[in-house]
Amino acid sequence: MRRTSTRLLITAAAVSTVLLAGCGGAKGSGVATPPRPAAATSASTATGPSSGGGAGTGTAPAGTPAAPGGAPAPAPSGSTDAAASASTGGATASANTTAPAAASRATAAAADVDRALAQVDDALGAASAAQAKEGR
Amino acid sequence: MTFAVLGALPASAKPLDPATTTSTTAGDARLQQIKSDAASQIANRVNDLNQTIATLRSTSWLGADQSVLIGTAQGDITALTQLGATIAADTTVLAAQTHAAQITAGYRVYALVIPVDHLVRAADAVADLAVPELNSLAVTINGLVTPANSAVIQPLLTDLTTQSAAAAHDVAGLPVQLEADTPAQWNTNPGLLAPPTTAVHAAREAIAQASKDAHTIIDDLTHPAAAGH
Repeated sequence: MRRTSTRLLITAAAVSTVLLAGCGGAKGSGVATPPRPAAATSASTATGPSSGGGAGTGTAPAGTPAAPGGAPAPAPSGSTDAAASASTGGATASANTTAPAAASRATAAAADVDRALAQVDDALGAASAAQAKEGR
Repeated sequence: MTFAVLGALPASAKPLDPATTTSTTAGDARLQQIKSDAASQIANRVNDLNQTIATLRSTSWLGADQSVLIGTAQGDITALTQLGATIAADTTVLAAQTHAAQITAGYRVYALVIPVDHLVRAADAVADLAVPELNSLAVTINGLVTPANSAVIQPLLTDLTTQSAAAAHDVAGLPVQLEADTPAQWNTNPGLLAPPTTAVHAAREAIAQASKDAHTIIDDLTHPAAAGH
């Protein structure tokens, strides 16, 4: 899932660059810019399954022409959001898959402690019952 | 006819003294009662010791204490059985009474031997079951502490480890001490088992508190919203 999202983002960015080079670049002096590094970083660090559904679908501005006068084309904010979403969702997903397993181990260990405690109670009760028989 | 018979007795023969006859009969009855009671007391002790041995055999966490405790119990069974045979063969009330008194004073099966067996079981359950589990649990929980839940979990985790250490301290060396106690020591000091019993109870309470901490932590981890973070 992570790889798919990243691949989609990269693909979308590439398409964006190509389209921008072909449109905006030809019309004005502005140079299309690639997606913000932050987006790429976020996408690359996202872990685990992401809701990042946004991945890929948020690259709508791919065809947005460069602004006249050479203003750089807007960054593919859709990609950024998607990547950020993937990053956040990935981190959450990672924590959520680790914590339940550890909590499960903790629950099992706590049950073992309770069983040990029951053994202690049983033994103390037996000791007391034996002492009550003294003199018989 | 009666007179004829009496008249036929040799000169050395004396007629039965009614008082002596009554005393002998009462003495025999008393002797038999002592023997009967002793046999019952010994049977009860042998039976309970055998049951305790079965319990010790089925107790998986005793380690080396298991053979020590079973050896003591089996030795007592053998000795009590021999004592029973001795009492059964006694011909005087005094001898039977003296031997019968040894059933309790010489063995203290109920006051010492069986309670020691179970106190060692309890102490070992604390030291070899509960404490290791709590320590393992503390490691697991420590890995789940985050900045978000630290304020709630860390104090509980600290208390859990403190209680676990206290429990381990309470029962440290207790089995060896208990196994060294003798009936003679108990006869001199009937409160012999009070300190170790108190120690095991204290360890038990520490384990219970640690368990409570653990459950609170787990509840917090699995239902963080309910805990307020």
